[in-house]
Amino acid sequence: MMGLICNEHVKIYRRARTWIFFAAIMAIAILGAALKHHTAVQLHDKETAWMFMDSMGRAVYLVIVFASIVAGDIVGGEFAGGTVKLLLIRPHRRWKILLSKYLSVLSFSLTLLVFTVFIAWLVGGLVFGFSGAGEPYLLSHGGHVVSIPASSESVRTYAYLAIPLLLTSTLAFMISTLFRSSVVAIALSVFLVLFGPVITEVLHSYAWDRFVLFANWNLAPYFENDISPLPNMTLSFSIIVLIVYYVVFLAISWLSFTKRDVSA
Amino acid sequence: MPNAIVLRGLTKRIGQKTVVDNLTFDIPSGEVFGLLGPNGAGKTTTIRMMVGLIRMTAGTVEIAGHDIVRDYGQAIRQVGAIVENPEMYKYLSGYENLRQFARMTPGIAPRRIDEVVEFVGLSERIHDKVRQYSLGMRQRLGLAQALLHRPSVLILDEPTNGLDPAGIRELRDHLRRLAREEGVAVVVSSHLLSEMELMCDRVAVIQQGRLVNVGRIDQMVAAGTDGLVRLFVETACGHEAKMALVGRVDGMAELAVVDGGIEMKLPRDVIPRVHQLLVQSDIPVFEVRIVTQTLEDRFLEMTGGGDKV
Repeated sequence: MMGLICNEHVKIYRRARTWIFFAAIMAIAILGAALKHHTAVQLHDKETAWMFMDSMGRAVYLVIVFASIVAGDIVGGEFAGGTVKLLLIRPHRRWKILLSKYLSVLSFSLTLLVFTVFIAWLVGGLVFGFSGAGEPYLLSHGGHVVSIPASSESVRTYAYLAIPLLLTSTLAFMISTLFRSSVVAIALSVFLVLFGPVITEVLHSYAWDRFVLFANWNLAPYFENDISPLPNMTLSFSIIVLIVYYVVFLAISWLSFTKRDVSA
Repeated sequence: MPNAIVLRGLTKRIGQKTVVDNLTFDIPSGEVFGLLGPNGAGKTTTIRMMVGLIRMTAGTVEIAGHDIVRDYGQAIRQVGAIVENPEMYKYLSGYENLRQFARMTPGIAPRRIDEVVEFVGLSERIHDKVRQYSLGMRQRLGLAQALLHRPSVLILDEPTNGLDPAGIRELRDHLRRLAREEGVAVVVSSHLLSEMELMCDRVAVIQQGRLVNVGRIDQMVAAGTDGLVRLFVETACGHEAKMALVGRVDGMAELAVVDGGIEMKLPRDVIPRVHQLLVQSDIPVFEVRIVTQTLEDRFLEMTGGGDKV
């Protein structure tokens, strides 16, 4: 099993593509810091590393796209390239091969997320100084305005985004396994990430709109503004919906990979 | 020698279509065995079932005594294979590809990788990216990958694809050596007869998923002659020649005017009589020659002729 996971990591990190992902996130952090610095000077605003980190949270959508590309390619790419045949005729159960691939996707997603957090902190710190972790950040909670440290707000921002990251890469992984095509998997999951909010809007008129994945995967509103994204939704409702989606995605991947004939 | 591969009633149906129909044969250790048939006869499907990539509708495959479905791990450990094309990770070097496969089977020392690389003759280019390999080089890398874990069964699907004549000859020698010296059961598939004739001890001829014949190639050819030979006489006067011979040669089975002369089927020992009659009738003969039945003829005969070989 360790050998299989090692193999998958070699396949991910040996590709130039992967390093472009890391470089792109670094470039965005540097660019973002430069712009922030420019406006902060003009407006005589005080910016800190932690506030910058918080605003860099949006870069996680890029992490989601990159993680979906890797997840979408990790099974589909083997079928497209025909290498899946050489992979399967080894003394390993198919589910083990699939699991090693999924764990590698998770490891890559997490690495990219941690990298983004670290780079945001580092670039922010170098540009704006590393102090300000304890500065107050105001948000409304239970009808009151409460103050939390800026550092914990930043951490919360990334923690909330880890949920769409996990679900989108799992979704891309499922599509990849089901359709055996990296192109379909990548295109479909990137599309869903980009248009998830729009889809939620469109489906708003239906009674089942609260069961839509995208309506549930941002848990931040439950904690910050005390309002649910849609009526009749609670935190536990959203968590259950997310778990059901997650289990279904994995079950479909598992069935599709272990039961079907391979004629690639 | 014990049987390395045992196929019993192997069948694959996809929808209404029977792609592989009730194949039964054994392949002993130390033999180079050919799966021969036109394109679309079911060779690749049979191979896919033998390595567990697709499920059989009915029947069993045993590899070194292990059922490929029930005892997959034990069975597949014995197998090295290339299915269809030798597809590798193009963005990795040949060596890194082999390391990938080495990590998937326990107990392969780094020295073993160098050993197989040398064996298939890729030492000089092994650290180049596979992207830059020719098809012939990828075939070699495919063979290296299949041999890494010292399998007792080697299954190669169309292994001569993309090899030049020298490469084909080299592959043939490799396979013979593996079979003779290490007792490996080698299964190769091909739609090219001439290749199989040189490479294999025995072949199974497959047509539309069915086993048409299985056995030694030389015996298959001999069986085709049923004691008669085909004789061709080159002459400008085909009709006169036919008239001179008809009814006067014992055991003559066929006699027909063909392009540029006449052709007949007859026992070998009456050929002098044919000469004699033609000379007596003043027929101008340029050549009299026995048309040996090739494996190709035999194959067309067995498969009903229609399909391209």
